[in-house]
Amino acid sequence: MDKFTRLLSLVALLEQRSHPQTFESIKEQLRGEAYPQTNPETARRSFERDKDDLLSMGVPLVAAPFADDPSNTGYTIRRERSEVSDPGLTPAELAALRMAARAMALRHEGVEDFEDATDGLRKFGGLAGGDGETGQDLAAGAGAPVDTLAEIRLDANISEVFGGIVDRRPVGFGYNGQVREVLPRHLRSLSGNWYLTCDDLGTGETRTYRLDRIEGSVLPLPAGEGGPATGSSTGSDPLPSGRFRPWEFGSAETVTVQVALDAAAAAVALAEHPDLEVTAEDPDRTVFNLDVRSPEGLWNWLLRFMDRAVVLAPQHMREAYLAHVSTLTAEQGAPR
Amino acid sequence: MSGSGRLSESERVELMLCVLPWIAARGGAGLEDIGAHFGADPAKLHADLDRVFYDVEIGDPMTMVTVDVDPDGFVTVILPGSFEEPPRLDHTEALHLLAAGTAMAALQGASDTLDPALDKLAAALGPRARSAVQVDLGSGDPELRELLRAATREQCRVRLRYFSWGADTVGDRTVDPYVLRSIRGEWYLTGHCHDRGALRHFRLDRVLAAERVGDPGAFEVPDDVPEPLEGFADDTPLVEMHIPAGAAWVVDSLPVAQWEESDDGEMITVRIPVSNETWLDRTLLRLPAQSRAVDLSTGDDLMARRAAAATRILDRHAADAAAPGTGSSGDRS
Repeated sequence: MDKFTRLLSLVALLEQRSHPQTFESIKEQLRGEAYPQTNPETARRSFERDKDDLLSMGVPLVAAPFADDPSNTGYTIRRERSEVSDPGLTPAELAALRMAARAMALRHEGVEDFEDATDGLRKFGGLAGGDGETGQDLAAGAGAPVDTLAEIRLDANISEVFGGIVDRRPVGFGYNGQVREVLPRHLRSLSGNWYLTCDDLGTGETRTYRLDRIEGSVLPLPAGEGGPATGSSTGSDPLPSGRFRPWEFGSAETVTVQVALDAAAAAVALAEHPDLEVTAEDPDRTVFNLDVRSPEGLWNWLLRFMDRAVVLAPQHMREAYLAHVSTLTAEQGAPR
Repeated sequence: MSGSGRLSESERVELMLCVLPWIAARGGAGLEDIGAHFGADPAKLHADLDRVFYDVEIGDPMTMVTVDVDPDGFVTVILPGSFEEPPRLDHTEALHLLAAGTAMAALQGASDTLDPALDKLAAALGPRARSAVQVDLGSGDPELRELLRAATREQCRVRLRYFSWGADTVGDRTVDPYVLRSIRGEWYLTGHCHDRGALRHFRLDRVLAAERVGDPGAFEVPDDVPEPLEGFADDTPLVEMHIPAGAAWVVDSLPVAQWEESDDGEMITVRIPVSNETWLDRTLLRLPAQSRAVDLSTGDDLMARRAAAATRILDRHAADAAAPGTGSSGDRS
C-alpha cells in the first residue's frame, strides 16, 4: 500500500471508530497491507512516521494509554477545541486574506525558503482566484509570494508563544540566565524583532522580552500553573503605540529634556517617532521636549546622531550628557 | 503545503482531506471548480479521487468511501463517517495568516473585507487572538511612501533629498525606483541611482523629500533586484570589538561575522565587517566604557577614533552655547 492510500486509510479507519485503536488492531483492520513489515519494530516505525505526517497536516490524531491497560496505547482522532474551526469567511474575505498572505513573505531567520501563509487558507478552500489569477496559476506558482510588499522574519519560538496567547496557557523559557514563567499576552514585530509582552507568573508584573534573546526553546507549562496571574487578564490588551523610546524605559523620576537636532537628524527622528513634541523649528534645527526616565537610554539614542544633536536643557541633564561623552574621550587618556 | 503544481505525496493527502468534505458539503462539484477553489490541477485531482475510491481501506467492507466522477467531470462523494471535516487550522497556520493580515491591514487602512476576515479568524481562535499579533513594517511618512510606490509602479524617475546615514551627509539623488518593500521592519526603496551610477538602497525614514521627475515608463526594471541587507563582500575590512557580556545588546543589530565568549563569561569578542567610517563612529560611541576595538586590517586601536568623535560632540555643544540665541537655555526643571 503506498503512502497516499495508507495515510487516508488510517484517517478513515480512526474516524470510523468511536474508541481508540491499538496499533495491532489498526494493522489487522487494514488487512495487513498498510504495515506488512515482518519486523514489528520496522512496522511500528513506519506507523510512527505516518502519525507524525498526519499531525503535521493538522489531523488531530491522539495517542493515550488505555486506562485499564496502561502498557498499551490507543490511537484516535479527536477534534479539540483549541484548533480553529472554519471561521465562516465569505469569498471576498478569503480573497482579502489570500492577498495579504501572498503580499507578506514570512521567513524564519536563517532559512532560505518562505513559509507559505496561504497554507491555512487551503483548509477553508480559500485559494480561489480574485485578483486576476486562477487556482491553476497558483498551482503552477513559485514558493515565494508574488509581488511581495514586505518580508517578515519569524522566530523559532513564535508559534509556541502564540499558542500560549490564544489558549491562555503559561509558558516558560530561559532569559539572561534565569528561568521565566509567564502568561503571554501579545506579540509585536518592531524593526524586524519580535517582542513578547507577558505577565510574569511570579510577580504578576508586565514584562517585555525579545524573542531572539530567549535561550533555547519556549516550553508550554500546565494550564493554571504559577499562581494568581494565570487567567487573571481578560479581553484584549491595548498595544503600545509607536516605536520603543529608549529614554522612557526606566524607573527614575521623569525629567523633561530639551534637545535640538539639525534638520536631517530631526527628519529621521520624526520618521521614527512621528508624535515627538516639537517646541521650535527653523530650517537649521528642530527642538524637541522629551520626557526622560532613563538618561542612559537618551544618551544612547542621541549618540546615533553624533554632533547633529545638542542637549539644551535642563542644565543638569546637559552636564550629565557632556560628562558621559567626556568619558568616551577620557578612555584613551585624554580627559577634557 | 508549498502551493506548487508538483505536490508531494503528503501534500496530496492533505489536499484530499480538505477536498473530500468540501465536495460532500456541497452535494457535489465540478472538477474545474474544485481545482480553482483549492489551487490544484483538475486532472491530478481526478486521479487522486479515483485512488481514494479504489484503494482506501476502512477495514469494514460494509462501509466505504464512494467517489463518482461523471463524464462531465462532476464529482459526488459519499463519506460514511469519514472525511467529514477538513483538518483544522493549527496555531502556526493561524499565526501566519494573522501576522500577514495584520501587517496588510496596518498598511492599507480600513478595509471592508480584510478587517472582518481578521475579526472572524480571531474569533475562531479565541477572545485574545485579535490583539495577539502586531506587525510594524517600518517608519516613515505614509504620503512619501505612496508617492514612491506610485512612481515605482509607473516606472517614473524620482529625485530624492536623502540623508546618507553612512556618509553623514545630505544630498540630492536622481533614482529609477525599482522596488519598494519592507525588510525586517524598515522600508527601503531600491533603484538605480544616477548620481552613483549603480544600484542603491534608500531607507525611507532617511528620505527627507521626494518628487517625480519625467514621464512614466522611463526605465525598465531588471528581473532580479537584490534585497538590502544581503550581507557584505568577503573582502570587507573587519573590526574586532571586546565588549562586556552584559552589554551584548549593543551589537545585536550589527552584522556580526564572528562571536566568542570569554572563558569566564564576562566579555564577548565580536568581529564586524565595516564598510563605512561614520557608521563605525556611531557604533564605537555606543560601546560601554570597558570596551575595546581594533581594526584588524591595520591593527589600529579604534578607541582614539571614538575619542575624536566624542570630541566633536563636545565641541558642538560648546559652539551651541556660544552662539547668540541658540545656546543652552538654562535649567528649567
